[in-house]
Amino acid sequence: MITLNNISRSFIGDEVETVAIDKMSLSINKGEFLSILGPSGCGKSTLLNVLGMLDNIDQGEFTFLAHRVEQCSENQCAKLRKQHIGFIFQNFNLIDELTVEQNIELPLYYHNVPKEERKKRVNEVLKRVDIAHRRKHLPAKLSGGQQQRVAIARAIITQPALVLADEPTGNLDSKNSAQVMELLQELNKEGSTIVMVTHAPEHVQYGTRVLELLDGKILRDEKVENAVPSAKLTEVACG
Amino acid sequence: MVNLLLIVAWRNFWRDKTTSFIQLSGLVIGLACFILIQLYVDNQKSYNSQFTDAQNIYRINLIRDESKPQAQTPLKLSQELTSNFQQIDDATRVASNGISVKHSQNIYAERGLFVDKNYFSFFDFELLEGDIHTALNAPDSLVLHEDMAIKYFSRSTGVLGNRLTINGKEHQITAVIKKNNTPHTMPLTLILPIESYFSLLPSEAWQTRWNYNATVTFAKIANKSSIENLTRAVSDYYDERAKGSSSFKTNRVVIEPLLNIYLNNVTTYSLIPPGSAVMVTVFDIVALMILLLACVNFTNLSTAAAMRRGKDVGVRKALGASKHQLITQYLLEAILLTSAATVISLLVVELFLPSFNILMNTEINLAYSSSLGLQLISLTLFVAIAAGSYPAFYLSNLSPAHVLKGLVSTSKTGNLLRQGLIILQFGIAAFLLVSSLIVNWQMQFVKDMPQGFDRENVVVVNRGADIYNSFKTQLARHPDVISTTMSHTVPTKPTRTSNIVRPVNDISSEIWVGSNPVSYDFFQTFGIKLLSGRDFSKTYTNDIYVENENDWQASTGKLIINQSLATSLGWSPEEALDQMVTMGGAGGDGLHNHQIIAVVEDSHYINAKNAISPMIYLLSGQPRDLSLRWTSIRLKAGASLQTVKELEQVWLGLDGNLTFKYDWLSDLFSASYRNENQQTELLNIFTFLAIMVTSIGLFGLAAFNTQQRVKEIAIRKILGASTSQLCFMLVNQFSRLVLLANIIALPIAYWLMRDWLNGFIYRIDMPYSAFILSGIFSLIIAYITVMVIAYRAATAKPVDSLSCE
Repeated sequence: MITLNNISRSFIGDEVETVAIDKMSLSINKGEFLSILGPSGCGKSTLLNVLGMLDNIDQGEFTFLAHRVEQCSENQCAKLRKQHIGFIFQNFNLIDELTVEQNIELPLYYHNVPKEERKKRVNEVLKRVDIAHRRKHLPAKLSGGQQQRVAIARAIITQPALVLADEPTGNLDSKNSAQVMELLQELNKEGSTIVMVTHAPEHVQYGTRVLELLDGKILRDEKVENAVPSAKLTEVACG
Repeated sequence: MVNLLLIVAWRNFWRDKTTSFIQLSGLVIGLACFILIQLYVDNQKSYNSQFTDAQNIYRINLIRDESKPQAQTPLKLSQELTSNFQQIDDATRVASNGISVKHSQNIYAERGLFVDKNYFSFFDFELLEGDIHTALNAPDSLVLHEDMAIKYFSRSTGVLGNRLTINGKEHQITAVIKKNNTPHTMPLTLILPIESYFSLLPSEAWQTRWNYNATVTFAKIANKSSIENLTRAVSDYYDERAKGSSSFKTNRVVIEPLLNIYLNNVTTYSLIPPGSAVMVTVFDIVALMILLLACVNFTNLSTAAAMRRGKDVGVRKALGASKHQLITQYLLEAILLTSAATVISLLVVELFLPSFNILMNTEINLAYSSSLGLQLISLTLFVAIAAGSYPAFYLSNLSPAHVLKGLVSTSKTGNLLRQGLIILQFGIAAFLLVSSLIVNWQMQFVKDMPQGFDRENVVVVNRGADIYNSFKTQLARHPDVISTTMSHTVPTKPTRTSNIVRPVNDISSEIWVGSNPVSYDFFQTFGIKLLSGRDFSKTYTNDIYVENENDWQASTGKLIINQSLATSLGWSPEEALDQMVTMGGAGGDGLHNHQIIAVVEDSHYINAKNAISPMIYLLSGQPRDLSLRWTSIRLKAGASLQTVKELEQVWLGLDGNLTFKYDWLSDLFSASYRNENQQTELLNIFTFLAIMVTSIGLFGLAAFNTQQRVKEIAIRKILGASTSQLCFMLVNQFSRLVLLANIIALPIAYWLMRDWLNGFIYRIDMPYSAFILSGIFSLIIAYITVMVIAYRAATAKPVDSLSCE
C-alpha cells in the first residue's frame, strides 16, 4: 500500500539544519496496524505528516497506492488525501463552533455526499463510537475521551483506506485511552490500515507491527507477537 | 515612566506592522480628507469677511413675480435708498460690463467694474499704491488689480499716472489693489467710475428707469433689527414705482447680508459665479463620514488585536498595574499613532492642495499659525480619544485570569462590536456609492439631454451692433462660415427681457414670456429646428418688429414662438401657424396684435436646472433697434483656430477699438455646469476614498480573523476542503455583514436621493440599478479584499498551523 524508499526530510532553522527523517525505507501493507515509537524529536510526527501528505519529502521515493507522491502536485496530493486518508490528532482538532454531528459530517460535505446519505452515515458512525447521545453538543461540552471518539468518527466516516493517528491517547486518561485503542483495533480488524504514533509502549500490543525510531532512522521494525485480546488489554490498561 | 510608556508604544507599533500600518494609513486618509475639506469649507464660508464693515453691508436683490431673486437692480435705487430711508447709512452701486482696453497698439477684452466714488468705503481693499479716499474722484480714474498692473505694465508698483485707453477713452491709473488670497465676491479686474458706464447706455433716461436693472446695489445698515421692516418698506416703495413699467405684477426686494451672498446660488446676476451652501454642507458631512470610517478602522483593529494585547494586560495586572494606568497606556498609544497620522496627513494635504485648487478653482493655502496648530491638536486628541477609548477601556477591563488562558478571542461583545462597525463602514460606503452614482447619472442626463440647439462650431462674440451688417457681408465670403446672426441673448445666457402674450379672443388671459429679439439667420446659426412655418426672411418686409407708440394698433412684425408657448396657448405647432396673438399692456403700453409665422423647438437658455419658459422671437430690423448684443457665427465642422483669427481680422478691420471677445458656444455651455462638474468630481473622489478606507479596515480585520482561524482552516483542509471552499467560507462571513449594511443604508440613500432628484425639473427616474450596483460593488470590494487574505490562508500548509498547538 505504501512504500518509502530512502526518503529524507530536514528542517532549516535560523542557524542549524535538523534532519527529521534520514534516508528511511519502509513498506506498509494493507490491513496492518503499525505503531511508531520513539523519543521526542526522533521524527515520528514528521513521518506521519509525510505519510498523510501534509508535508513534502526532500529526497527519496514515496509510493502510495501506486501513486508516486513526490511527483504529485499539491492538488493531486489533496485529492489522494481526501479519498484515502483519515486523521486522528492528539489534541482532537475538532472545530469549536460546530456540534458533534456537524464535525463528523464535515468530510462528507467536502466529498459532495448527498444530504440523505450524509445523515445515514453520521448516524451509523455515531453509534459505532457510542457518542450518539451527545450529537447536538459542542466539543467544549465533551470530555477528552468523548472528543477523541468524535475525532475518530470524523476520521472514519469516509471509510478511508488509511487512518493516521498522531498520539491519539496523549491527552486522555487510561480508561479513555483504552477505549480509544479498542476502537482503533476494531477498525483495523474490519480492514482499515492504521498508522499510529504513540508514546505509550503498552499500546503497541493493540497493533500488528511496531516501528521504533531514533534520530530519523528506523531502530526496530518487527511484528507484534502475542497480541493481547482486546478484553484482556482493557484490564491491563485499567489495572 | 512616560519614557517607558513611549518605548512600549513604539515597540507595539512595530510588533504588528500590518495592523499598525493599516490603522495609520486609514487615519492618514481620514485626517487628510477632513483637513482638506475643512479648508475648502472654511474658504467657502469666509467670502467677503476681509472687509471691515462686512457685518453691516447688505446686497439688495429684486424678486419680481415668481421669478428667482436677481442681484441687478435699477441704477437709481442706490440714490433712492439713501435719500428716503433713514435706516440705510450709505449705498453704493457696481455695474459689470465687457470693455476694450487699448495699450501699446494692442487691444484686450476685459471685464470692467463701474463703481460709485464710495466703493472703497464698502470694500476696503489694501492698496499697493494710491489713496483709497481719492482713487475714484476723477471721471477718468482707473484702479487696477495687481494682476492687471502686471499684465499691462509688467510691474505692480510705480504705475500710478500711466494711462490705458478704455472703450476709446483715456483713463489714468490712480491706485493698484494688492492681491491677497482671502476670497471675496468682487471681480479682480479694472475699476472705473460709474460715469463711464452711463456713456454705454442708449440714453440718459435709462439711468432713472425703474425697469432697467443693471447695477448691483449694496447698502450699509448698522441697525440689524430694522432689516425686516426695512425690507417691507423698500419693497413697497420699489413696487409703487416699478409697477406698470413692466409686465411684472409684484416687485419685492430682499436685503441679503454680504457675508451670505457667495453661498446663495439662487440669486441670478451675481458679480461672480456663486458657490453652493448645499454642497458645502454635503462636504462637511462627507468629511465627517470619512473621519468616522478611519476612527472605526482604528477601534475595530485595536479590539481585534486585543487577543494579542490581552496577555500583556494579564501580565501587567498580575504585576500590580491599575486600570487607570492601563487606560493611560493604551490611550497614549492611540494619541501617538494619531499624532503621527496628523503629521503625515499634513504632508499629504500639502501634496494634494495644488491639484485640489485646480479642481475646485480655489486659492487655498495651508497657513501655519497658532490657531491652526490648536485646531490640529484638538482634532488629533478628538480622533485619538474617539477611536482609542473603547479599545483602552475594553483592554483594561479584561480579567487577567481569562486573558492569560487565551479566552479573549471568544468575547461575544467584542465580536458583535466589530461586526457592527463593519456594517457601519459598509453602510456609509454603500450610501456614498449610491449617492455618487445617482448624482453622476443625473448630471450626465442634464448635460446630454437635448438642449434645443446645436452647440458645436458656433463662435459667440460680445457686441458688434455698429459693424454687424458689414461684418456679416464680409463673412458670407469666408469659406468656413455657414451663417452669421445677431441677437439680444444667446442660448446659455438668460433672457433679459419679457413680454405678455394673450390670445386674441381672450385678452384677460396673460402668458408671461421671455423675449429674444434676433436678426436674420438666428435659427440656422444656433441649429434651432423649426417645427412648423418659416424663418424670418428679407422677402417679407412686415416680419420686422416695430412698436408704434403713437398708435399701438399700428405696430407691426411677425412672431416666431417656441413650442412651450404654443402648448400654453393650446395649439399644436401646425395649429399655431398664422394665428394672431395680442401683446403689450404692461407699463402703459397699448395692446397690439401680431401673427405667428413659425413654431420652433424649445431651447434651454440658462441650463437644464431651470424650466423652459414660453418664448417669443422678434425680428430686429437693425441691430440697434431692439438692442441686439451678441454676434454669433456658425462655422463648418473642423474649422480651425486660424479661421477664428481671420474673423478677428475682419472684425478689427471694421473697428480697431472694439475687441473681438469671443467664446465657443460649447465652452459657454460647459461653463454653465462648471460648479456641478467640480462638485460631482469632488464627490466621486471622496466616495472613492471612503471605499478605500473601508477596504483597508476590512482587510485588516479579515487578516486578523483569518489568523484566528488558521487551525480551523488547517483541519478543514485535511478533511478535504478545497481552496475555493475555504476561500468562500472565509469571505462569506463578511458578505452577510456587507449585505446587511446595504439593506440598512440603501433605504436612507433612496429617501435622500429622491428629495435631491425632486429638486430638478429635468431628471432621471430613480435608478434602481444604482442600488443593485452598489450592493454588488460593495460585495465585490469585500470579496476582493478578503480573498487576498483568504487565498493565502487557504493555500498555506496545514501542518504548520497544527504543529503550533
